[in-house]
Amino acid sequence: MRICTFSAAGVTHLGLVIGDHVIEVVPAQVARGLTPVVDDLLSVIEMGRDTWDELERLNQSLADGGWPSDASWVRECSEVRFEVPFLPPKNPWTVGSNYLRHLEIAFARIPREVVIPKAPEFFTKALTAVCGDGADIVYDKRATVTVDYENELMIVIGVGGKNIPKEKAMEHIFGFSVANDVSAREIQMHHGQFFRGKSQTGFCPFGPVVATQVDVPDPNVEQLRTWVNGELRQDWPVGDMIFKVDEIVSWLSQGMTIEPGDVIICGTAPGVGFEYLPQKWLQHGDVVECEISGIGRIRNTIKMAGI
Amino acid sequence: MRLCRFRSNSQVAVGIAVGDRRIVDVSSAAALAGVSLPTAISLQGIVQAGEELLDDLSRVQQWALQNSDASCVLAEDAVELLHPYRPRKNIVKAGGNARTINGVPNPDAVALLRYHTKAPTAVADPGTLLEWESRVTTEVYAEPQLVVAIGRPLFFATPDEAQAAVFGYSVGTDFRAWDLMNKHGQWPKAISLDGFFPWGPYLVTAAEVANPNALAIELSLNGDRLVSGSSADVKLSVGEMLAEYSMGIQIEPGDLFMLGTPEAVGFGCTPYRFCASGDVITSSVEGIGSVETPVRIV
Repeated sequence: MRICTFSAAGVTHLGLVIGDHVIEVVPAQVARGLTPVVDDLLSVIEMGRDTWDELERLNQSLADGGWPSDASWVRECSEVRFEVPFLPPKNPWTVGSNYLRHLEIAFARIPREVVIPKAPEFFTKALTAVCGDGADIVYDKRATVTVDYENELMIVIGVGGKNIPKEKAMEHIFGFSVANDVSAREIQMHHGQFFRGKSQTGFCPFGPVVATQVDVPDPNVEQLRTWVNGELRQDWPVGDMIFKVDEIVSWLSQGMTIEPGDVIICGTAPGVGFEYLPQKWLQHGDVVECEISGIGRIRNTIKMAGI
Repeated sequence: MRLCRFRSNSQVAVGIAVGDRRIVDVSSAAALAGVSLPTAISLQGIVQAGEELLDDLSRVQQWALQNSDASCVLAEDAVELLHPYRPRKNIVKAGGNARTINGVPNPDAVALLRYHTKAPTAVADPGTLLEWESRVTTEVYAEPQLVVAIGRPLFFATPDEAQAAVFGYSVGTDFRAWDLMNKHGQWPKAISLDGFFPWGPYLVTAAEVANPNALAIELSLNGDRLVSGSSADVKLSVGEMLAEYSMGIQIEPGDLFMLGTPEAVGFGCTPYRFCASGDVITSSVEGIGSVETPVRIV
């Protein structure tokens, strides 16, 4: 299923995206004689596999059998606003330096010799940076003027654990989403640790849906594409990662408990603004679209505070 | 006011530490004193309410001092003091804030602070045995921290505004795995292993701390003092650090910050040594309290 949080007429609902339609889950369950349990995505994730399976069955039956033409709980995707799917229970985790070609080009710009990481370069983004599809990314020139995009696969953890072996890692994943790891490059460079430059307000949009493993069994076969004002900037296989999804989950959980709803953003591919000569920073009014096939596309507009 | 969270007869409650090592059970005392507090009161909720509940809590404390034989006034030794709360977000460490290390200027080439974060899952109670597997890390060291709890939102704040938004102070130990810092390049995983942030037990309200920028901060290993510094020995004071951080990043009530390690980088002093099984590490901040952690490598 492709599960989401959407709003219509100012009210927020848990939704299932089927084709061009979004299903409001609670009334759909009532219409099928089911008992709705929760109406928010984090609770769905935390409740575990029985709840996920029930929603998968609902999704499958709606996808196969359709719905009454007068069902008030079905809307066209274009009629609703996709909100941030959920707020994770802690800062989003992020992996840096995970695509070799991106590293080679970026390091040539610094310039510095390419160092291939021996372990995932984990850092975090502030929770206040998290926003959804359609949200404005507002930067403040008192803090940064070198705003850049990074389209990345997001892992959503469904089952907590510690010391998870690579072979078991996929069992701990609820699904996948699309994230833009927006970065303030001068802050990132000046502070050494990446956190500060990656954590400006609105610098972590993700969505529009979380696609479960039923829909995206292997994210490695998907393609990542990014457009700025319609110009294609990133176009790369998701699976070209130095550390793959299962390795990332396993590494992160060594000695540290991960929890349902934790998110891990897997690093970006070649084609970010930092790599260009001259470098292409995002400006007020720019529209950034990040897409991963099989999951969806988020679209965010860059705004400068005070304009 | 010295707030805390404690367990007594398997019940967890919010407390106020008063003189002669006694803890006032806030909810019970409020009921007896006729002070109306929110039901299911939590220490995190008190911090997030900013100054709103402080007057009521102060009345509860006054009542308890006058009724010290009441059943809601407990001997500190009879209760188990816990960490104040698990924050909603990662705890932010102001890395690289030391002005000098072992008496010489901090050689860190980065002029700005190296902010990085600790996962909330790392939070642990004072006195709890901290264990890690040698398979995961063999190079654990510790830094004593002045912990700053925020009571009001901040965004593009001045140092004065930021200082005024501090709810209170506590003490924590920032356990860090040196080998994981090097292996992962970025630091948060290395400081976020389970149990790597024992803190508390007291959260001391800002009004009781005359000058947070002149507090002795110490770390001892098995009773021997390893680090002895002051919160005065930092590049950015509490207010300056929060103000600088708030440039583009929202600070919210309940957020926790670690000021950074003055004077010496934990075990980076000579002789260089990492934690070993059986060690007891104690961090202390003058006027705030201390947190002790026995460790074992498995």
